Amino acid sequence: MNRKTLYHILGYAGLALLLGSSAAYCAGLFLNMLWVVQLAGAVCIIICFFGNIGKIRDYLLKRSTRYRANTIFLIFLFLGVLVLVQAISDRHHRRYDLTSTKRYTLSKHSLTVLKKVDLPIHVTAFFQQSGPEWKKAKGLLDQYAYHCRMLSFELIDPDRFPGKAKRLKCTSYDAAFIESSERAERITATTEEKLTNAILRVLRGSRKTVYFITGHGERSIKDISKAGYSAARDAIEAQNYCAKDLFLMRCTEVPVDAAVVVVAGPTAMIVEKEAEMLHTYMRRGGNVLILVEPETKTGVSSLLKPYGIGVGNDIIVDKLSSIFGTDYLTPIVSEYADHPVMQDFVTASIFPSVRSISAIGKQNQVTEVAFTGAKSWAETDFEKLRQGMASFDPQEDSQGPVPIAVLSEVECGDKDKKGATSRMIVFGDSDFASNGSFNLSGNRYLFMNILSWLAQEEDLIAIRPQSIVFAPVVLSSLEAKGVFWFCVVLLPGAVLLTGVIVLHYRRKAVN
Amino acid sequence: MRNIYTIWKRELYVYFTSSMAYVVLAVFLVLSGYVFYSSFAVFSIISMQASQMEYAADLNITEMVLKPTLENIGIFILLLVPVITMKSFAEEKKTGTLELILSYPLREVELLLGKFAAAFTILLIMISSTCAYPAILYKYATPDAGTIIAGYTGLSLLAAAFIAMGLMFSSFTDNQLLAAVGSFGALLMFWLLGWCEMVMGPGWGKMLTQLSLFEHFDNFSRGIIDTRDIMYYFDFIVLFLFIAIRSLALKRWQR
Repeated sequence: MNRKTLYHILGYAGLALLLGSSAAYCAGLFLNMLWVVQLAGAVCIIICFFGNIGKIRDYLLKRSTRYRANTIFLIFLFLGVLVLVQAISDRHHRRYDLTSTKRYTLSKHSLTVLKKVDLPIHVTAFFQQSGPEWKKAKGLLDQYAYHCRMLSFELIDPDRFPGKAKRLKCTSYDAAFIESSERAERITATTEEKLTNAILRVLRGSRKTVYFITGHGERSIKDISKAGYSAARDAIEAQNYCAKDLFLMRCTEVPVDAAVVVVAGPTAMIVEKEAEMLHTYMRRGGNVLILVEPETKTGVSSLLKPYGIGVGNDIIVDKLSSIFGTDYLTPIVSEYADHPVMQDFVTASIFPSVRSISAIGKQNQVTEVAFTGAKSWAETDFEKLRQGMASFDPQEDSQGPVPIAVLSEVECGDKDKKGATSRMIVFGDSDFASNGSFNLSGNRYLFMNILSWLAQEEDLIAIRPQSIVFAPVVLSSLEAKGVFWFCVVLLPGAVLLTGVIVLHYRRKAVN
Repeated sequence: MRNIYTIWKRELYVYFTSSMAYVVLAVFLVLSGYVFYSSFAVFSIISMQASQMEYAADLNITEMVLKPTLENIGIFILLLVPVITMKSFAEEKKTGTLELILSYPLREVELLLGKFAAAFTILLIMISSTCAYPAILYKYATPDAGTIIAGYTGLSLLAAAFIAMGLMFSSFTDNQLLAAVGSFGALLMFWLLGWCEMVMGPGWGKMLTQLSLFEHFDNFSRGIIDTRDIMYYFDFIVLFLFIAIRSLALKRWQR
């Protein structure tokens, strides 16, 4: 055996030893002996290298080798530049949603909340990786991360990574854990609305309290019936407010932590002492929402007079613009004032039996904010209405558009809160926010916008998510056959026929 | 530019005077036509069932018919592109015409761009022939025009990326079959990378998934245009065309 052959054998043996030891390392075999094998392999290769040093030097000095090396170097350099370009474009990318309904764009409400994010937030969402929801969730979270640099996310399959799911106490699919350095929140369904509200809860330190007055037959936030306000309570709590009952008769004053006080459809008289407590609360810088039902005498009129708000003793009749399937006492309201509380709000809201509320006097900043249609009127003759003979009487009734909601802003009487204002909104109906009507058209969002404005959190007033258009298409048997024949037979057939004609003429031309 | 145009014209002439072009286009149309018909038929059945339910929602013809059709067209293009690009350089090398072409005052980049433009034109003809499907949808419903525009933009970018890869493999060898199998395997790999996150979990898996050609097409098929996805396709095309140019330059030097 000559020296050349020996070097070759040693080279191959060294390579085999190194590969074998790497495979054994991966398999976890002979771990304590591996270093000996690796050392032997390395020694073999070094001997082979020095044995062939002349050949290697000649090869490296060849022009073709240099040219190849240069090409490989250029390719890697170019690849590096492209990776850099991609990294920059990943960081500064723009996203355009071309769908007509802006289906893959976050609602203004979510965007408003994301603008408020001032500390890093991490979302861990749990989805089954093979399921269709994984991609949907990824798309949604991508949008959040796109609009907010401070937000990062990861998707975890709880079946594959049960440890993390258990640690974060999110063991079901569709759940998400939202955490910042200060707070954490869990949601059981990763929808845009729930995620935005959870982010809001993580951002806010303390929870503002919304008190619902009881004791005069008002709507109850615990009532889950059609007339109850449990849906409104859930929506309020989802926005990180705390909703509580307040039995005013047993109190000496409205609690100091009250961000908003709601009087939702009282049916009994509000006594003077209670009215005085509400006045005091307003002077202190409080905010009040009053929802008055038609045909009730509760003493609210005298309570509202100092704020420049008048309550009409009537009921709105709208024969043109009422909701389909109901009578003409359920007007649809789509005309709103140009005021921050109604900013960008164009969705119609539905009011089942509503009375007029108007601005009186000029002592405060009073604005009528919602109006019924032009063909509606405020009917004052309840007897005729009950007989089903209601008609517009120009002497007694007011012609539409009739205001049904008024807001008033008064300067706060508290010397410590100089420049601050107290806010009050009065609606001529309390049904629109009840469980039966809360999710009708824009009612929910109107109610939540009002509450955000009263809680002096205008930056949370926005339009909520849009619904998806339901557009079924049912093909007849003939139509389905037509689609099949056109797409699968005629179109490819026409291409083949064109080919045959072209080739035929070409052959003819060649011959 | 003139050289590119000359190459482009020559390539198209050669292609459309052979039976290959018509067979490839017909096969492509049969496959995509069947996928479109099936999706539309299924949508019709679901529509009928959903209309009878009280709380039917989220039934969207663009999402349920057009999106899967476009995604499947993308896969059919992946299967057919190697057949179109395999000849580009491999055949010229085998017959010796590449040496002749390279002896002309023609730069490698012009030759490559001419061939790329020709293959892309063929692919655009293939893709635009499927515009009949949205037109059919418009007869029965109102599909989202934005999604159609974004979907077809994505499909064109995807096709361009496939072509770049195919040309690169064709520039490596003088064996057409090898070029086709190589580019098909590589394209398939770039499709399968999309499953890495599922197999390997977050971290490396997520990073490799980002390299998948179809992962970036997903946004387009939903009606979203993201500059990140456009840049990815741009980088992909430029990289593989660059490698092909270097390969041709090496060939010229070795001549």
